[in-house]
Amino acid sequence: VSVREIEPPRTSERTRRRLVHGGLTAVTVLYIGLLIVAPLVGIAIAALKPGLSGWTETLSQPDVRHALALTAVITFETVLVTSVLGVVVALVLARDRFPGKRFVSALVDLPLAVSPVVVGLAAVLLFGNGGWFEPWFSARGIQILFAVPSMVLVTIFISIPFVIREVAPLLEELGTEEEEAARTLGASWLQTFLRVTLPNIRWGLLYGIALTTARAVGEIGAVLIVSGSIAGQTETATLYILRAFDEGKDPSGYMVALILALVSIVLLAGIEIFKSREEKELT
Amino acid sequence: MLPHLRPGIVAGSLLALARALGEFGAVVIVSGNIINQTLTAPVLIAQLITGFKPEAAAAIGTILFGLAFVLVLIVERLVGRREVES
Repeated sequence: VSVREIEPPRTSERTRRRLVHGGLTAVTVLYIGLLIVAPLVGIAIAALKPGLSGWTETLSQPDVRHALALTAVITFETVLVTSVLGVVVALVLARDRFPGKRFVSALVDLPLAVSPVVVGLAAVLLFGNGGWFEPWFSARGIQILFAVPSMVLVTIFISIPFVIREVAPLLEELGTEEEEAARTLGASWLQTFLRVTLPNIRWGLLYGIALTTARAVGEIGAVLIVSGSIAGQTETATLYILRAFDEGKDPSGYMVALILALVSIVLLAGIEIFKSREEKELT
Repeated sequence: MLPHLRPGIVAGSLLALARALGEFGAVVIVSGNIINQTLTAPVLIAQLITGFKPEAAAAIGTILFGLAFVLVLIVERLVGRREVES
């Protein structure tokens, strides 16, 4: 440490530092404001313009209702699968040592990097005509492609990382001391998990579920490829938005878009609020 | 400060690069998908599949998948090394 740094900063230096901080804050506000807040406000304004009658008209359309319900079903099934299996994978990645662990850890991030369209393409190649799994399912009369099963499957694939990436660091930080204490006091494996491990990772798990929901609700690329986008059948809310803009029904598209945006925002904000409230109670 | 942040910055940029390479939903709505002008690789793949040319789609898809895979492996190396150091 040089002598100059220990001396109290001169006034000119202090103003310069304040200018730098102010500049960085301005860049942050401008960046987030222009790229995140402005589009959101734009959608909200466009969606609220038609008024109450416009909303009841859009929401009474069977296609819109079906699309929203389908998105809800797919999201629910995705959250169920990715949270249960996500916690299992997180436990293994945080606690176990095995050859090729780094490679598995890299694979977990793959759904974040690979294009959802490519994911949809892979599903088409596996379950479509001439695909590896196609004979087995068609022999049993089970429709995978252009039906809900493939849509759930690709949505699960693209949502795999969130719960794992939120929970695994918490498990590493937590260590195994509390769990070992519980086990030596006679708790079963299941009791230890439910009473010790789960309470410790629950905010990470909830945050992972919120991120999963946000991703599943907004997914379009993979779902478009595998679903065939049949209105009233395999059309999710995002696919409906796409069709609404194609058919010049922009206001309905904006309304559904606002609903989807609000679902994600309310979930993420809600968890943030509950978490900070509980942390305040603990201190 | 910068040397400490470097692995994180590079890893984050690479994930951003991967995401940008694969983006579909937002691009398909705003671009109009004009061939040789605003048609991106993911949108082309979608068009080839709906146009019953799965082989061509698979060719481009393999390139995109390969890029994503390499990026993820690099990110894992960067982040993994940071964990060992700390």
